[in-house]
Amino acid sequence: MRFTALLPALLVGVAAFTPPSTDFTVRSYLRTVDLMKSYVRDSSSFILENTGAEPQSSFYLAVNASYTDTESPLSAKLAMYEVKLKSDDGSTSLKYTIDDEVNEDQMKYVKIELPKSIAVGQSVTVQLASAVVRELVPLPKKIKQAEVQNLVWQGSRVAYIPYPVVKQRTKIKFSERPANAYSRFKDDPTIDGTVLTYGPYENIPPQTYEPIRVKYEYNQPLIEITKLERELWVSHSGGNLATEERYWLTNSGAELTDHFSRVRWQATTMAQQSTPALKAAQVHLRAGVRDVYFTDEIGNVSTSNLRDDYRDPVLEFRPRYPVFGGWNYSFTLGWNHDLARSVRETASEGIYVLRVPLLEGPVNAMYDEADVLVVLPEGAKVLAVDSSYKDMTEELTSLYSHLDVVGRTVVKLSARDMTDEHRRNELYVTYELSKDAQYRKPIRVATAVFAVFFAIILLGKVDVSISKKA
Amino acid sequence: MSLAGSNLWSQGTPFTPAVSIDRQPVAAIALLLSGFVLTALFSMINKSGFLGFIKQLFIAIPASLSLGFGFVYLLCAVGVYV
Repeated sequence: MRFTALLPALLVGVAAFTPPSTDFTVRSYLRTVDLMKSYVRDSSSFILENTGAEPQSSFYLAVNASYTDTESPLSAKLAMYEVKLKSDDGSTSLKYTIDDEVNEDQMKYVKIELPKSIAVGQSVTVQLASAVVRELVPLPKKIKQAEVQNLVWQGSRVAYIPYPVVKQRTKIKFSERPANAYSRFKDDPTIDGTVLTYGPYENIPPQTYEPIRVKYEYNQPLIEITKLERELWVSHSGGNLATEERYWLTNSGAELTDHFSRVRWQATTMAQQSTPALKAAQVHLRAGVRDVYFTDEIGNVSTSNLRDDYRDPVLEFRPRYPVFGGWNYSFTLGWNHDLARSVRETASEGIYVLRVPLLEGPVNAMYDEADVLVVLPEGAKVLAVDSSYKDMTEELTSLYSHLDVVGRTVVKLSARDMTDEHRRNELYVTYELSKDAQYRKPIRVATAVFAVFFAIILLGKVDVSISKKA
Repeated sequence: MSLAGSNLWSQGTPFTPAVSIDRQPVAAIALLLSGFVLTALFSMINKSGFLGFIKQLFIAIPASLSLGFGFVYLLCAVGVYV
């Protein structure tokens, strides 16, 4: 797809759109690549100075074109991209649009709108945070059961920017120890603890890309949730918010070369050695959680523990078997909360707002596909659905459950390529539920019972005697 | 970040259910018991004539309401939040 997009440009001999590199100069660009998780977090902060001839109201950055390619849904993808303008009184998120066109370096430009234009000679501080899922690959692809897993990250030692950069540095952070193998240049990089630093480089021309490769030890599972179905059941009569999450999980780390050996596994566990297999995972739940359960296809899994801390309850669950690279495990987690924590009544009669985190899944997980279903009471009318996370499709459906006749109102949100950090995004659902709709269910049962009583009354009136009464 | 929902949220008051979660079992037992007592009464009263019919109706209505609400709270009390 990339090539076909490039082809017309090559044939005509006109280069694809390039932002004018003379508009800005970037001063002191500090980039941090965080390789401590299942996914890559790439964040930067820099000073952008208008060195052009006119005031500017927007600027450009670039992302790897394949990160936004919809043709191959399971390749490395951008899960988060956030640009913030930093000022003395806090930071503001900036709107951005990713260009469709792919340039000769296989990059796509990102146009970022500024709230107010920068005058010539003026500068602003910009912070960029991004996360890429499914980018880290194990090397070698297959390891022995007790071997240590290594991952490879590939990128550029300088950030690809359409403007000249005065000074730049790239820091790569590891969780355990510095990389085993990495691209070396003269005096470059330098190692300090678990941080690898490329640079500082001075006066880098625009659109520089210098590929580097880093191989590092990561003896933890790469938790990839291929599918998540998250359901939030709002019950007004019960005053309860029930959450049920069904997971299809895979460990995308290094696979086993041989068959799984139970004896070796016991030895590893006894010696408390670290392993790239998923033994246990943690889920941070919201305060006031009740009735937590962990089940799978077989039934209840007893190896879970809720650390019921008042502020930050943590559910730790252990799958039935260690999930090695390439292995799958599907399971269900569920819990209850008082509805008062998540639903508020507004000033207008019968209008309620629900506030829940978008995700509440395991720590250090990446998601390929996630469906969030908000199941509202029967007869509720959805007025608005909003979230700080925008990249979702929204659908209104209905669902039948206990004592339902017309079906419950369901808001279904579908998203792709997310990380556990998206739990910070909140979801608000504003809905209307009249008072009589709230009492519909007991009245429905009462009507059925009354029908029985009435039948008895009528049947009692039937004269079944054979002879006439004297 | 200005979300319409977050504004409504910050101005709203926490939702209060008609019967709080820890009182649901009590509510269910009380309502169901009174429902059964009324049902027993229903079967015992004099059914003859128009007056009997009215009497039966006057017991059947509160009995069915009591059983209806009682059943819903019973479901809630056992964890089926309908």
